[in-house]
Amino acid sequence: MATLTRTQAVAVQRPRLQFRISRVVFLVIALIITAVALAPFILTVSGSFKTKSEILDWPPTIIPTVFQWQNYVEVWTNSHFFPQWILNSVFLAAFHLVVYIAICSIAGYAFARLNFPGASVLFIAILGSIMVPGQVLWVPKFLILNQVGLVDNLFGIALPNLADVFGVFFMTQFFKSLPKELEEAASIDGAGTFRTFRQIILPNAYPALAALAILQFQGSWNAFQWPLIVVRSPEHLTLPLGLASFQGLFGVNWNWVLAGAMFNAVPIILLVIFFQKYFIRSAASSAIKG
Amino acid sequence: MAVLAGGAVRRPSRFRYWRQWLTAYLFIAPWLFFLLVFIAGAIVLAVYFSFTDYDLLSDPVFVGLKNYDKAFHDESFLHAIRNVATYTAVVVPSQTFIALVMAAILDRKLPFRRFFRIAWYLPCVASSVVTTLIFMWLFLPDGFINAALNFVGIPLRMNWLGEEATALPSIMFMNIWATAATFMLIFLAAMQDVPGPIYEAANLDGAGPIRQFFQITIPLMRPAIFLVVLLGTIGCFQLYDQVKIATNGGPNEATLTVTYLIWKQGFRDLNMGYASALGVILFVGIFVISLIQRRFLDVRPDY
Repeated sequence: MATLTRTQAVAVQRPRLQFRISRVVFLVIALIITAVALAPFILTVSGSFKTKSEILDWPPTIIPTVFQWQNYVEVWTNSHFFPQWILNSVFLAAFHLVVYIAICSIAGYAFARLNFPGASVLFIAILGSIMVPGQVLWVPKFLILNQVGLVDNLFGIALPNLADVFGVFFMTQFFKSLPKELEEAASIDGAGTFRTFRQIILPNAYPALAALAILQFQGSWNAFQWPLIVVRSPEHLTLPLGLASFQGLFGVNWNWVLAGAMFNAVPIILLVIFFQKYFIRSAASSAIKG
Repeated sequence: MAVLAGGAVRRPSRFRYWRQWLTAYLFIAPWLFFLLVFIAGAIVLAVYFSFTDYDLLSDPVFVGLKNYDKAFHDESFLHAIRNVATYTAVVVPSQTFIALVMAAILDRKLPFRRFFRIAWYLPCVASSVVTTLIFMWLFLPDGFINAALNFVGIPLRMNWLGEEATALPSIMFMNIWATAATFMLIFLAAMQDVPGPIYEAANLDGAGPIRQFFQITIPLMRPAIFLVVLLGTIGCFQLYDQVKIATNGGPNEATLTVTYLIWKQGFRDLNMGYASALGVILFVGIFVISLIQRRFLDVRPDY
């Protein structure tokens, strides 16, 4: 620490040229990484406007020679259930966001602020169940749904997801960080626990709720493994399942795949661009999951 | 709250205590219900069914350890383990290294760093279905991967996902592309925690940026590196989406994974008991690997 002022003096004397060269090298590497990260998306956008035959031309063209909207029209109208798949995905995301966030925030509050027997045991169970890979529970979860008649049903996809422990953990950590004075003032006024939670605590939790909502929306909107096990009929598929079904026994309809992929990818990409901070923060906090 | 009630009246405070228990359990009840059914109950059922033969049509029959014995003599399962081991051995070191480089570059105050951060992160937020379908198209014999190779003078027209030798490496490439930036964010957060004066002292001693990176940044980031290696390994063990969508485990089992085998045994061939046993083995495998990694990668940073 004592060297701080001396360091600054040395830094001023350092030749700036060497500094600049390393900056240029890093900038070049950064541009290469950017190209690799974005190229598949850019090629998909351009491919989605190509004619069916140009999509498979050799050598492939980067910019379509004929620019046409036909693929978007076709995927929407000719692929039978496409609008239904979008509706299903929207319904699942909306249901999950509303119910999951309600369940997690109220349970998280109990873990953070209320003393009750079994709290610490349950909390350890939460952390332990994070260790169990989802695929291990495919068979038993499917058999449970089979018993209650929820196979091939959208609620069969939605209900088991509500058991995900990440949200409770996330909200518990957040409520612990709120100052205790908030509730103490309310309890002097004689408000009950639920009223305190709804009127005092929840309005202070909007940033955490928004972060959880965005993370959960991404998971629900992109989900593949569990929906694939639950639903069979074409009218019950979600958008990712429907897109995956475009490649099958009779070859791949690449024009539908490329145009259809945009409907799945664009909403989530817009969300990242507008809510960058939440994504970065939730990625950092999901690190706690390990 | 107990303090506010004061010591003057004892009974109401005891009443309050009980009421708080009840309130707490009411608060966690909705979530606890789903946890007990779909996680706790499901874990118990998974272990139970792993000791049975069950095909959904007739009642489960208890068969003891038969399914576990079968697994370790099942050529497909052993093949899947070998594939997953190869896959993990390549993907985890590569994605960890690439994520470190990406984080190190973003940590320097370059122009456009906010743009870079968003652009690099996009592959992680697109759905696995979309990225897999896109890469299936890029990997076609007439696709852009071959075109790019031709452009730099390698005249190839490979069917990357259709050949036994290249199918698994292609999926490796796809997945490193799709996940590296997630780990970059973990590294970036850790790098910003390294105390600045350490670098200043190193500057004073004449250490260049590369040497500072290897001798200061890396050692101080050991907890983050452990986390990334662990999460990466767990992710690799669970490789499924790309295999299910792009190759169905083929060609000739070249991309068969443990999770794909669980799906195939359970939901295509209706061997629910055997699929459960494979799931339990997968869980034990992941658990043991995390313990071993914890031993080998010392998680404390050394200052």
